[in-house]
Amino acid sequence: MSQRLLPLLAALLLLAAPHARAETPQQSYEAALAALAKGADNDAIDRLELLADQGVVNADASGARAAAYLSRADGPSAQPGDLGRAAAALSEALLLKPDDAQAERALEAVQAEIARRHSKERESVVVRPRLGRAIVALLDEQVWAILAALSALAVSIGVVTRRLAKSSLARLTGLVAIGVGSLLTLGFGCGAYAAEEFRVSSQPAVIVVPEARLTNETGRPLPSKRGADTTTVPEGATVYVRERREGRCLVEWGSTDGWLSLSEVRILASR
Amino acid sequence: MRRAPAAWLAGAMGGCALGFAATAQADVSLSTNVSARKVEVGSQFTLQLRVSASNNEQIGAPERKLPGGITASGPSIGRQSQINIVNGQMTQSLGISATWGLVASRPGTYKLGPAGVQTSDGLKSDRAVTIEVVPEGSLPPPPLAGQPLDPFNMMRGMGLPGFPGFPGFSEPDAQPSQPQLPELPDEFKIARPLDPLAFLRVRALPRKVVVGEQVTLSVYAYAGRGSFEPGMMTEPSRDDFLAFNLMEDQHQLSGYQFELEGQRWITAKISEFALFPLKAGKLKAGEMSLSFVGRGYSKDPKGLRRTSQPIEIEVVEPPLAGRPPGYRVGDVGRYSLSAQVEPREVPAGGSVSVVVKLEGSGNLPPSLLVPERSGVHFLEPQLVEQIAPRRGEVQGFRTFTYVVELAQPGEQDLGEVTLPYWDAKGRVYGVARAALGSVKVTGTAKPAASLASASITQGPRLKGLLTPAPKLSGTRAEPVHYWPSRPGYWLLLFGLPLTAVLGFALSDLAKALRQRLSARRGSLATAQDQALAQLATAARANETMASANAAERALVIAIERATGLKARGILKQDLARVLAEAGIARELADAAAALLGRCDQLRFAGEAVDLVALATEVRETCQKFGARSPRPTPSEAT
Repeated sequence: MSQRLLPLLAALLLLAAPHARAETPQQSYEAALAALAKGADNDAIDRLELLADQGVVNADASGARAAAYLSRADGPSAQPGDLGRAAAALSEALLLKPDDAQAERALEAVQAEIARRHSKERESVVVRPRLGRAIVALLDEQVWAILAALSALAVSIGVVTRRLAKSSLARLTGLVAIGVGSLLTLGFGCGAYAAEEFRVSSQPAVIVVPEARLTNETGRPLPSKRGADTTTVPEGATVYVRERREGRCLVEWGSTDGWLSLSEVRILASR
Repeated sequence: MRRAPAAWLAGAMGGCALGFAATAQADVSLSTNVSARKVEVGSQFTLQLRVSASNNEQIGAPERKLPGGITASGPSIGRQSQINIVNGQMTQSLGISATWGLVASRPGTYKLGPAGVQTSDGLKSDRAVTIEVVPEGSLPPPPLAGQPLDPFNMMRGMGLPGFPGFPGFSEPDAQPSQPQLPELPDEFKIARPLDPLAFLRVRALPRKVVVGEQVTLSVYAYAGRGSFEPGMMTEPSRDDFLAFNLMEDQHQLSGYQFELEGQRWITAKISEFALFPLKAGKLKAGEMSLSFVGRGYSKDPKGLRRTSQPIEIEVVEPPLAGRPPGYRVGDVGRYSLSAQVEPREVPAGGSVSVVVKLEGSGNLPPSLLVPERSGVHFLEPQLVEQIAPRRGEVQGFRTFTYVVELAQPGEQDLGEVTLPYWDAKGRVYGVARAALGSVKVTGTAKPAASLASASITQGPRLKGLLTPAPKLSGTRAEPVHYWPSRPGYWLLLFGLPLTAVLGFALSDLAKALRQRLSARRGSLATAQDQALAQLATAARANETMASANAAERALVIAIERATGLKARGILKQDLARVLAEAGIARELADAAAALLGRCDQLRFAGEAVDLVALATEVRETCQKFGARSPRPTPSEAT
């Protein structure tokens, strides 16, 4: 009799133990929104951060996380880096859902607020990226690829027309298609290749501390260039992480490369 | 670091601090230790003075006062400097330890010291320490194997002069008695010695943990050449770990002796730490060194130095599945929370005291998750803690005293304080909770002036910038398959135009080859006709040599057109067979071979041959060859 009761007792004890219960992402999200609604910003942030840690890549979750950080940044329990984390969440939401106008407006407002708070240092959150990255960023990687494919198709049609057409006008058209198409194939192909290379070799990230000082590989601060501080990255600035090693990361900020602690940046999730 | 006697080892290991007195002074602090409060006449014991001072303090030579009946040797002096960086402020301090070896010559009670050092303010002294000296043989016998050893001379009783012998163990050249060795505990057992003389061994349990889970790191010394005195020793390396010394309160070390591969060994655990990893990864710990000083080890007074190999500990983060919100990586253990709130009734704008006690084992976290309520504000807590290792496990309590400001009148439910943690033993997450109950807030709410001023400094309100979606649109975004990441895309991109160009190029090439082939065939027919015409002319003119040449040329061309074979390259005797193998009728092949033979004869004995008949025969043969479908010659095929 007692042997039968033992497993039952053990099961009851296990149920009574203060063990955590797993939630679905939807439940966690709704619980976070409920916490946010009643002003429990920290609870909401904890839940939404856990959701992100568990691999939930979703524009709505990123947007809610941004809302939670903004709520805390506005309240008495504001913590340094809240605006940067909000900017990171908004950037992530825009990466996942590029046509989210609300997130875009909010990101601009947050960046403006960060710049306003750092006005003494005359820092700008947005810096001019490298020429190559700026050109590639003009179009989406997929658009580069489609344009290059269409150009290649034009070259092929030009070759066929040039060869098979009887009339001289058609043959001339084919010749022009070959010339222009080849140039465009080369240009758009390079764009597609560079876009892929940037995507694969670097990850966008946002600074989530009031300011981050770039260092060299050995940890020494980078020397500033004359006339401008190019080595202190302000909160909310977008950088590109190119390498990660032992808790540090090599980032590209504008035209400057330097090392930061991984705790100073938030790497944005992407699809 | 200089070699120090056994007392240094004991001090470093946190051995028994029998006499301790610290002098709280501005820049210099002193403490005095004696290895034993009760000693026998003639036995050796030590007095140690430790001095720490700020870097700019000048410290002179240590001094000590001793009563009559006590003789001293030394001191042995060790120095160390330490740099601390706190909030960007760097402070450097200097430490000195002076150890004297003492021997009492008669029984009685003696006051040792005070010991002190010369500083810039004069002589700084610690308090004196009192010891009792008893006649020789009055104290209990020395510890046996497996029994506690005097940490100030851990090899006491192992054959050193002046000490009773360790049963079963003596100097290498001494005759061992018949030992009855106690069983060696498992933690000391080894499969084979790492060194024939002496070595250190490190053990970490467990080897795979989560961040914040306790790892017990133990270091054992093994000596295979008889008794020794511990010399210079360092602490085990433990970067990336929070460490608690598990031997701090251990007054005596346990030594054992055992036999392995025909050799007698002494072993003792010399260091043990509870380590809590601070980050994930493959972390190393346990590299330490110890000098074995003794006759059997080295003639160098510093002894035989041995260093242990660091051990690798795999540290991972606890699983994401089931992780409670608010869990901080590193909170590992088993905890419980209890709380007290006083008073339970306050006026609006007043505050209550919330005392939360966190108890348990493991890495006790320095902060808790406090409830968030409108009108309830928890200030930063005051911490009181008592955390120490007990039975090899770090445990204790930490008390958090919060001042909670209550702004809104009415019955305020404070909610509960929580602490999510990972239970490493149960391999499950848990949440410790303490309900705070409710507090009655009387009066009326005060205007929130601070908030208004805060909003002015903060500029525009950010809170309303975003309205989160009420539900998740999908728990996981569909991954985008970018075209450039597919190898087929690049193949298509450059392959499509190249295929068109190459296709036409190949087509042109084939056409050109065809034209060339037909031209080649046409040229052979013409050459054959010309040869036959020359043959006819030469035969009519009865020109023997010219007829032979023309006939031979016409036949060779005819054979080449029909078979692709170049007849001039084939031996005459083989020609018929080769032609037959190439598909020519045997009669025709024989006829062609015979005609070519007659052409040769014609060149040498020509007058007797009817040239016109020969020309006719050659023409007919050529026509027979021509009746076959022409085959491309090897040169034409290429």
